[in-house]
Amino acid sequence: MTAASLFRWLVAVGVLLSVSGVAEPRAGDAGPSEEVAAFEVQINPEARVKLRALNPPQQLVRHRSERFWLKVHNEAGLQSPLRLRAFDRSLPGAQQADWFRVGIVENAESTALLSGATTEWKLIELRCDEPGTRAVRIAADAGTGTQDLGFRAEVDLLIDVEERP
Amino acid sequence: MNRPTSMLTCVGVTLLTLCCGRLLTAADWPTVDAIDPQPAAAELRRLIETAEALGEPLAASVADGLDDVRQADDATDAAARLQALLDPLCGLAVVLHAESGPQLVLPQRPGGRGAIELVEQGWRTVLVKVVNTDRLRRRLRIESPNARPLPHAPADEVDARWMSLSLYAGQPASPSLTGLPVEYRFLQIFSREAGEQQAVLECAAPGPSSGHGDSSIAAEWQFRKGTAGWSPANQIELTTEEGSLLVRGTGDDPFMISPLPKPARAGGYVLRFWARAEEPGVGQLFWQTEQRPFPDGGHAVSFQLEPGQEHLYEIAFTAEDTLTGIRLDPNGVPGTMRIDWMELASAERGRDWAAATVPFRTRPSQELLFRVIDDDDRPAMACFEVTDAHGRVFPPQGKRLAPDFFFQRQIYRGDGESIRLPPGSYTIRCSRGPESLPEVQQITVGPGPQEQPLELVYRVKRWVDPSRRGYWSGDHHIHAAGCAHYENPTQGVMPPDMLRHCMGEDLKVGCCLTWGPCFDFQKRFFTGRLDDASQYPYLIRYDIEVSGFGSHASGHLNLLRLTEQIPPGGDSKNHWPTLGLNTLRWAKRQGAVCGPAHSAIGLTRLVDRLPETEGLDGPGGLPTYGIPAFDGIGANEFIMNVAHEVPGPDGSRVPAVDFISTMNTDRTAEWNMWYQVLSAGLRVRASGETDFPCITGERVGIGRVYVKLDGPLAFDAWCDGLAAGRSYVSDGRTHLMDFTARCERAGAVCECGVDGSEMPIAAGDTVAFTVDAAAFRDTAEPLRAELVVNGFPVAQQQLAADGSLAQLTFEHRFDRSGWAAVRIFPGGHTNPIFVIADGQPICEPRSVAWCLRCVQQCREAKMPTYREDERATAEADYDHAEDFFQSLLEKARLP
Repeated sequence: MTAASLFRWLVAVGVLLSVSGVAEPRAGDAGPSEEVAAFEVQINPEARVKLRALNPPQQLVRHRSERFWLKVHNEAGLQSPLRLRAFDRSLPGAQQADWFRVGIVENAESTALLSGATTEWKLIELRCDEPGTRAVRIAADAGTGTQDLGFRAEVDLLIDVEERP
Repeated sequence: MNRPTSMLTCVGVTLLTLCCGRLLTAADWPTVDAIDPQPAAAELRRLIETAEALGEPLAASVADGLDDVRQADDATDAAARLQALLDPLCGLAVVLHAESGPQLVLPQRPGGRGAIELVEQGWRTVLVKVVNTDRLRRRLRIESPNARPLPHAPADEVDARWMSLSLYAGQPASPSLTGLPVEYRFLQIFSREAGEQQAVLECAAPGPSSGHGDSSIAAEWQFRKGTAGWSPANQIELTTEEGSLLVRGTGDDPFMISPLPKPARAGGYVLRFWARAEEPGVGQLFWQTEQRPFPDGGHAVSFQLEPGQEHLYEIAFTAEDTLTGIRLDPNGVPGTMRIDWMELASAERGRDWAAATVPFRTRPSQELLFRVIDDDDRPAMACFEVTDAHGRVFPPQGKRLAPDFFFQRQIYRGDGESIRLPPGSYTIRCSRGPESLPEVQQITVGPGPQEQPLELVYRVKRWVDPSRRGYWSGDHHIHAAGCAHYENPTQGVMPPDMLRHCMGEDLKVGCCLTWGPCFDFQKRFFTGRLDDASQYPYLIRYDIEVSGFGSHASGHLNLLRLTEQIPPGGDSKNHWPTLGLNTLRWAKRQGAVCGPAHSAIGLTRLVDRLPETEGLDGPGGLPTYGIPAFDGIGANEFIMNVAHEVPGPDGSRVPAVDFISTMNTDRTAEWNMWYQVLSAGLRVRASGETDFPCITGERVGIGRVYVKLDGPLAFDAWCDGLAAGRSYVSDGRTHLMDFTARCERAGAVCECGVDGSEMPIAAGDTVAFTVDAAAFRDTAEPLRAELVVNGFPVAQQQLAADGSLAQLTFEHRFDRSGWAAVRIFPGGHTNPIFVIADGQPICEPRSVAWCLRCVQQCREAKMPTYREDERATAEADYDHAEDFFQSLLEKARLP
């Protein structure tokens, strides 16, 4: 889909840019949804959670939270909380990146709890507190033991973090 | 064999010399000046993980360098340290440019360019350095004319096509370049034969912004949202299903057509598609150009169909002028074909491709013959993990097909079977399931040809053999498709593959459950009896897990010993009931043995607590009176189902649920659910499962149930024993056999699983319990075996974890009725004996209240998952369950 046709689609469904600067996706499974999603979570019927980068951010501004859309395909109908965590890939073992924050926005319109619907959208927030080029691993799970086998619940991001102007 | 550069190689080089922007010969080895230390270390870490996943670990010195890179002084230092570690390991480098073509660079070794070492009939990985100073995030492609397929190859190219190669882009590597100025990739190369060879390697990172207008892909067809431009033209029907194009030819001249999204210039092309044709025959490809807008016999090429199997079809042709469309005749007779994807690629290489001729040296491999003898002197199947001195796993994991599973390090081989290994020293870890004592052997494969194959003799030694006491191990939940299994080239794996894994783990019964993925392929293996692949005493049978369809959202169900695989109203998975109890009604009518799968999922998040129970939980929260969210797919609707009886085969009412699955999820949560329903007076038994390869792909039989039978192993009797609880659940290294209760005063003896496991006594009687226990651990620490009564530990004994068998005895005075069992947390648990004092039922008020509150919580969570036409039934079923527990509660509170 071209940028022009995406724009026409956005206008057609009455999408506005929110204060966070994030385009609102259309509910349901139809439409060019993947174009506005930064990430996608797929939960298979056995509750194995996979995470995929669709249009991940390549730049962030230091100390500034930015919001992105996460599309969730929930074939298991789970209603548990979806959790995202950030790991520092440069450290041995599974050590969380204390300089990077990732999470699902919790407010009146967005919650980390899955609804059980086959398709839903979550607003997520990313923030990096260190400047420069940073490699971070984002991992997703929906409760104990739901991470998929073989790294498939994880994506690696390389992000250029600029100093706040 | 010293092979001269092949004709094909020469042609490839000549063409590339004429066409390509960059041809590399002796360029300097590329380096990068600066990378931030953090992403440099992260890149190294990912490389180490990828190498591990491929079974080709990097040298320990590389892993040791992780700290050095991370602690570099600055970006310059980090770049230098990273490259110093990895560059000496590289067989190739690729230099990418955003505005011009790439470069391929071969390393200079002392004494000239060294050949890349390969192994005969095996795969090796070659580390490739990618210098990407423009920070492109495109997909890197490395191909070779020497790796083209042999089917349909011109006769004079057969010798030259000696290799296969693929650039590894699976997890934990990223599918596209990360954008780091330098990164490293693994190129996997297979060699057909030993000797000196050469091959042309070609590379590109084509992207939409390359600006050359000569992308090598002219058209792509994916079928996720329709036929992607293909139209039925004659005697053909086109539909799509699950991302595939289903083609049905209805006459002798079926064909379909597709225009190209935009005209493509004249030249050579290859149409590639991944398909499965069901009938033999010959297909044809026609192409249309601006000058010849209608297909004709002069613009057609035929191809042989490979019926009954997935196949990559590659059909080359040349368009004399601008190409506008293609026509595919899938066969010359009526038939069906499923096409997963198609692409039309230019056979020529433009400016965005580079090439180099690379020397290789393939070492010959030798046959290693396995001799496997069980401790009864019979030939057997066993598990072998073969690694060389560099820690590389054989056969290479990244290129395995069944019966070897790519997601495991080990393979399973029987007596008289073999593998091929290149010269070298190998460590082979041998085992035959958790009841065997693993042993390690070293072998050396010499360089020269051998008259006799090398032999590895593995005599199985066991520390325990429960089958000699009549206990037959089983895993009631394994899969031949879905999760870690592949869907191509076959949709999952076949019954003999699953049997091999069961035999190699000495797992006597494997319940192979067909579920959502590949359902319509795998359903053919259901027969309502043992699979023909079974080899006594190793039995496999195909049944169903309701997962990915039907009532899955309220908790998955294992349905064992079905006589009908699919409910009336359809022949697949889309018409099943959404209410689990409706599924159970259908299954129990057949005499099936049923229970929820992966029980703890949905029970670990507590959202409430039973009033006035603070401080009353058992040790470690087992049992707990916290109320789970019921937000998952484990034993969720189970709490409603256990309150129901449904018609059995003869119409008499039987419990809707026979067992709860244990041993593969959070042990506290799964056992807590079991304990609470037992303490409420219900008589659900525990069984053990793995849910292979979903919960884990490590091996089958990680969670097990050992069922005692009086005679030889038979599947029906085994299921009956499972439902009767004449069994214990185990991780395979914890055994609790012949759990028995005795009451001297009452003169009563009760063996677990016999006569309903019920033991009548008088209130105040003391009951003695015995169990024959054995466990094997790597630690010298003794294990704690506990007698559990109504969910709480009341006595304990120590058990040495050295594999020795010991009879443990416990005593408990029963002032009221209760269930009793022995556990060794988290490795094993007996099923319960029900001690009935003065004829009064087991009925612990707090447990009954917990069950009642859980039914309410589950109703709230799961009602939206039921189809509208089943809601009324669901409401009535939950009402019944609430009434059932309410009634028990009232009885329990009566003085």
